[in-house]
Amino acid sequence: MRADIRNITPEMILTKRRIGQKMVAVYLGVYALFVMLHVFFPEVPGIPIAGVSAGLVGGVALMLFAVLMALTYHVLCTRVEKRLGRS
Amino acid sequence: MLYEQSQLAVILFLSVVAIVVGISIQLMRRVTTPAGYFTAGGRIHWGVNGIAFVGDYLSAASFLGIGGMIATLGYDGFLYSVGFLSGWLVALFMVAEPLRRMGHFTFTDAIDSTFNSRGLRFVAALCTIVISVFYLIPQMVGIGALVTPLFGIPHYLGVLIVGVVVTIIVATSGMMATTYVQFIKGILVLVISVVLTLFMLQRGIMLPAQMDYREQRALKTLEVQRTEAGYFAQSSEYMLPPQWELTPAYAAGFVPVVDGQGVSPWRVEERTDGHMLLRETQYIERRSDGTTLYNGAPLESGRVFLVGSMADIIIDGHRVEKTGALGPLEFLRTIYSSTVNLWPHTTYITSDGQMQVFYRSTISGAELFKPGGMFRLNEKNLSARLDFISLMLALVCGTAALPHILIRYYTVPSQAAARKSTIVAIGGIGFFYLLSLFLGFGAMGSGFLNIMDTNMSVPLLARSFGIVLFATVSAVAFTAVLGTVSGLILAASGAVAHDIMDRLMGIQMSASEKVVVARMAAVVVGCVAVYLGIVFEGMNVSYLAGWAFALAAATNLPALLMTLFWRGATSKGVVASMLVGMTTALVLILISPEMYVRYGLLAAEAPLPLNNPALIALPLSWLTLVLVSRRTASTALPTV
Repeated sequence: MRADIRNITPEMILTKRRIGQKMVAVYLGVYALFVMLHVFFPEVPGIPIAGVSAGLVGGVALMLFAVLMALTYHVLCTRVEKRLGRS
Repeated sequence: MLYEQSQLAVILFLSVVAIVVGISIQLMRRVTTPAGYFTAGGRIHWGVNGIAFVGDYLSAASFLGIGGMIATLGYDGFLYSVGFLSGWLVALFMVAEPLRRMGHFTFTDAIDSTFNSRGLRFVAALCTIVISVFYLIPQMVGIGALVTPLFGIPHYLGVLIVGVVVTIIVATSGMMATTYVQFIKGILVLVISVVLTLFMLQRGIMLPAQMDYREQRALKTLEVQRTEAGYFAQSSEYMLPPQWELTPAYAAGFVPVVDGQGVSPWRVEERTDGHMLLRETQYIERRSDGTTLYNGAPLESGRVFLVGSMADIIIDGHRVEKTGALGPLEFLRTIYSSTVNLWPHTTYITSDGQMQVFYRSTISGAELFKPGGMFRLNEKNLSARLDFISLMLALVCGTAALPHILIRYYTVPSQAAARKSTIVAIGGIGFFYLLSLFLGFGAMGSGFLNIMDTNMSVPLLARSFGIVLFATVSAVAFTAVLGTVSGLILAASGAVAHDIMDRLMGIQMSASEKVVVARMAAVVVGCVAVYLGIVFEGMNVSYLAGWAFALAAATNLPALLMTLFWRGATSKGVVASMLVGMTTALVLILISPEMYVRYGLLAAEAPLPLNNPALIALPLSWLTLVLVSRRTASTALPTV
């Protein structure tokens, strides 16, 4: 067996896959909302918020959300690896 | 001259070349096996790989293109950043770990590991080559735009120099040197962006009259009065040509004006009974004989002038001449509440070719912070809406399908390392995009904006702080292109040498022979890159990158995700999907309004109003995969 996959179990792969699928669905849902808001309510990104536009605030928030989701995914996967990995 | 040549820039440029070529030659002796050449032996630390991802991804399209788009279009340029970064989440959640587990050297390895099909291997390799070559275009165009003004050499020579350097990097030590070049580049891009942002915030925003760092050039205006004999200019230096009201220029909102240097289009600013106020413009004339003139003369004549200024600066309801140092949020708020002189453009056809005219237009900061610069969403126009959705779809789906990004997952020792390096990449890339927001808006009012070459916006912003920063930023931008082009050439050469010659054609080669073949393939791809960089001179590199993303998304993403996650996928389904995705995307790009302008025609004449093909090509590719897979017996091996 390849050294890089020796510690991996099928259960671990499936669990992490499920986490990934759920998280990508959440993120893409928020992203789609952001895009559709521009398409169907193009005046909304122009609404002033905190001295700038709602679109800018939303875009920056989406970027920060991406970083947060990435870190959360790592924490969850690390737990799964510790719990289900071959020692 | 728009840009003075600086010895420091030349020294920094040559230093970068010396360092990267030195690293490549030094590492060459360590690369004796295909694994060493294509994946650096899979021993790169995740932290280094993460920063190398940043370096790989923050190409000319990001470092030069995003800043340029924000500087000329405002908020719409920022939307590219949001889309680019979001694509990394798809890569992290869906692709990173399975790809690391299933593949060896190339994207084709991963996709074919389930099917072991010769046809699939060939098509996947072909798609890798096409996508990589397509993504090479914006990189090479970007470097041409950068090196040309720095050295005062023609565009083609700049592209050629870079092509040679980057081919040396890849052909000598493959992924090993490419990784370290990208790592260095990733760090440099982040550091220089922070430095430039801090400089800009420290200087604040000012009106042109306060810019002691540059010579002022006021735009000329001309009054035209109607008499019984017709319209006459109020200045003896200018006159209107006969039958000017019948010209295409007039139909497009401009008046042709004759002066000592020829005929130029002037924008009609005001029009009352018998009186017109005209303002000078800048224009690119693409003649049918192939020559291109900038403000009526070749580029070297230096008639193009720098623009980019605030019209009014308002802080807390008060008009000021300059702001002084600002915090990040204060900076954005001040732009939002002020007014800016932008330079939109109009294109029309003349009897001798095509004219693209840039004219000054003063708009409020609030307008700049909402869609409209590029995406006409407020007009509730269906084609504008579809085009926007298509672009955002391409950006979010494209990252996880770019072969040169995917091969980086093989360079780390484990799946966990692949995941961790992606997270480092997301942090670094997200941070850069936040900074690019400031760089773009800062360039907008810096007085150093070349609206005919938006790719130079960030280096020119640096120029407004002096030649040292300009030279440094230019050298970093140069490494930005080197790093990305290395990755692209490596991906394409892997497809030729490993996927096609070794695994598909079954040519018997020893390990060292495989490495030699890969090196030769790298040289060929390098030559193609140079040619394309010359042909596509002058297009905004982010725009071109958007096409590469659409092509990658339509061609590779359905194939990759369905292979990984759908047991019903068959090799025939995957092959059909990739071919349909690639062909549809390419055809749609070729008949897009933007390409029509390149052909010397009008954008409105294009058969489809879509500039980005993802909205049609991606679902079509997906549908093809499902339908063909269902109609063909499953040849897939069970995957876990």
